[in-house]
Amino acid sequence: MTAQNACCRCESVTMGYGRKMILSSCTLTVAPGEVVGLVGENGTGKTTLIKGLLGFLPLRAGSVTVTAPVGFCPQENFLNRSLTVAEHLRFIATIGHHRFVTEPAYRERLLEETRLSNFLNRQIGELSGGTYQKVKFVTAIWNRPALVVLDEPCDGFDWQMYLLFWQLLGNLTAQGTGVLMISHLIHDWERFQRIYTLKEGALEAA
Amino acid sequence: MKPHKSGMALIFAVYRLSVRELLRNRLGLALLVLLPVIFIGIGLATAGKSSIPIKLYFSDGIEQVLLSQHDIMLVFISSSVNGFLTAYFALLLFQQDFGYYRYCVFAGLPPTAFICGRFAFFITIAALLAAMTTLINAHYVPLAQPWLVFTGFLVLGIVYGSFGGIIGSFSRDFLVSFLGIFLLADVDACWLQNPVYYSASQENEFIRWLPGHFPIQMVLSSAFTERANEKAFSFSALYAVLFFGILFLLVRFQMGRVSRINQAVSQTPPAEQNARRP
Repeated sequence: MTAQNACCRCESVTMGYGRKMILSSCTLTVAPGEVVGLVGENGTGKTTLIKGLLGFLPLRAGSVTVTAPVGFCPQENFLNRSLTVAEHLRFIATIGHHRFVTEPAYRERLLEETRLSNFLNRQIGELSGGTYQKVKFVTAIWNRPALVVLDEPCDGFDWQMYLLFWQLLGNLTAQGTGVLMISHLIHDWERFQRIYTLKEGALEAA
Repeated sequence: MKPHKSGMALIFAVYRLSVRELLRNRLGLALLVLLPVIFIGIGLATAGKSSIPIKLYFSDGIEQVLLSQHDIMLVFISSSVNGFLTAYFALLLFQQDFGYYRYCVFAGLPPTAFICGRFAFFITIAALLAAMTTLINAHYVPLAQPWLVFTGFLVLGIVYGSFGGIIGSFSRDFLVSFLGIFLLADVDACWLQNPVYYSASQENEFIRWLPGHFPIQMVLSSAFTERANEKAFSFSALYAVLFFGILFLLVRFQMGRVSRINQAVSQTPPAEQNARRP
């Protein structure tokens, strides 16, 4: 893979909070169609790196280049609990309208496969933990982005949904979508094409 | 599930979502009904008909007027209820689900669309509450200048609502913020601006510069006199613009800090993006 065709590339990234240094000189790339894992112990800065990469947190040094529209599934529960699933997804489609090209058939199939079509009129605040997580994941890929960044997306999934999750990611990567994912699950590690390990603020490519 | 297309539709989409959020907030709806009913009901049941001298502050000095306890209570309690309710709803608008809209800005929502939609809904709430309190007042008290009473309630709502929004923007803890608006509304609009209290107070210079003073003076003088209170009107407008401006800048700043990666990437035409896919 060359730097030119990577959909995401961060080079010598250094980040920290206040006086505390969290990450030093981290370099990472994600190519189209590739599933890249980001692993490491709790508190090593995986989420910090992802947030720096997406522009949510400032970098102390280094550079980030993202050349594709991004779908993001953060770790925290950010969904608007007052809205129904349909209202939320429609809004996400609306705001991505000018930035993403997504066929209605793709979204309909996604709803059917994840069985969210049964929950469309349900308020998000009334959903179970697993279904809530499902909505978060579907939100990230709803506009069929060219790069998907997932922060522990499988929390609360049942086994069936877990398998479907990988099937959906497989469909996306087959069409050229790059995936960067934080996970602590050993099952996930087996599916990553490349793994970066964060250890004491440094990123090691395995 | 077809998405909207025009940029203006995004503002309406944010507005519509804000309406739905409010309509599905059971506590908010309950407060909207219960607070006026309880406060005004207790006031109506307990206020006497005897007259009390109160001071009204005009541009050319202080005018002392003799008003019935019942009438003063009604207009003043309505002001307090109005101030508290708008602050509460603004707190909901600019604190709860703020993280959701920040995510939406990341996903492609222009911050301007969020700000326009949300602030338009905030003004709508302030206007609805002002209309509601004016109508309740007009039912029980012959208002001298009803439109100016409405304007006074509206400005009071904007001042207190902006305050609620500012508190909500600073603290993401709902209980702390709720306590903040409750304290200000309680101390200022429900106690210090009470005409019975400030008319007899020894030192009221401090009271006369609190955010609730000018709007409440505007409401009282328009409700009970035929005179135009230019000072109260202009200072109310100044406070409203100031508080509204601070809230606007805070929200703009917080939304501006959200990553714009998707908006930067959008410089590539969508057709080209699709063409890149194998």
